[in-house]
Amino acid sequence: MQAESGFEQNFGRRLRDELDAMEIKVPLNLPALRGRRSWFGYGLVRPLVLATAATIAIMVMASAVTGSTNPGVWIKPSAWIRTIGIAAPSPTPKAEPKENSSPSSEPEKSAQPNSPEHESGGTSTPSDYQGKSNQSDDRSATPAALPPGGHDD
Amino acid sequence: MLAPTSVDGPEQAGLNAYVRGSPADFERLYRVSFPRVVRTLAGIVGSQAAAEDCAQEAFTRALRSWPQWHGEVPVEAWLHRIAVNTAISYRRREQIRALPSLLRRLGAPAPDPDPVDYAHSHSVLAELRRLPPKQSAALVLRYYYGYTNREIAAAVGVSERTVGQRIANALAILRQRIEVGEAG
Repeated sequence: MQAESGFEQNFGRRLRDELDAMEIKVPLNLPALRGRRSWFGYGLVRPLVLATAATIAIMVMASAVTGSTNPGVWIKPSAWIRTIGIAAPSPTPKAEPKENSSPSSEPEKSAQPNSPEHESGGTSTPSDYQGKSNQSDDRSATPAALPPGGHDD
Repeated sequence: MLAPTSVDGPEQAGLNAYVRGSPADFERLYRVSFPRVVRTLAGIVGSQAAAEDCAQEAFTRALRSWPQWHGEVPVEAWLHRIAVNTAISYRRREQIRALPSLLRRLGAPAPDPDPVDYAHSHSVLAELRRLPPKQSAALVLRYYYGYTNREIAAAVGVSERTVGQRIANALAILRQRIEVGEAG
């Protein structure tokens, strides 16, 4: 090491004095370190927390709407439809094309219970037919679902 | 593996235990080295507040490069290199920011010096700040930390000869300014 001149010694002493006079506090956390920690820790935890909260919210809503804590009930559309109040859709999609058919065919079907074939084909009276048809809503809603020879077959 | 140089200093022998890419080790390095880096930077940028800002930025850069740090260079020398480069960038940005006010002052009479500024301008840090940043970095590493030219060269990534030239030039400028200032 080279011998320092008087100027260098004086300069070094003054530099040390000024730098040592600094009170430096280390910040608790480097922002980048916080970001890195969040990537591995908080960044992984937050999606899990959000997913768990969303799942719990869905469970609470489903149990409140369906009135059941059984998840098997939650996935039944009928439970939701009954609570919300929407009319149940027809389980026989054949009914819709029939409604779009020509109007001339409707009188035929409406007259079908009174046809001679119907009266002669079975022992039931029209009043019996009406009473039984009320018992099964599905069949009464769809004339096409009626058996051609009567309902007692 | 780290070279057994004395760049870290005897009290920093534990620095050799750092594992590259380890977040915990970097956090330890940060806590141990932050004050030293701030002091180095204060000699380049001239104020503690600016030095702390630069140190934050330097450690952020170092964190990004932490997985690529290779043990052939002592960790604090590697850190000082990043810090000095950060300070050089800071000084460049500062010069660009000061350009408009400098242009406005062209042709205008010089304002009376503020007594506080006048006192500060006679400090060593203020004189270092007026030097080129690479020269002031070499002076701080030499006269504050007591590093040799070889250690400074390893820290800042230049040859020993370049370090010697920087220190000689900086001392010549400082001698002229300080002696003239004290005589005035």
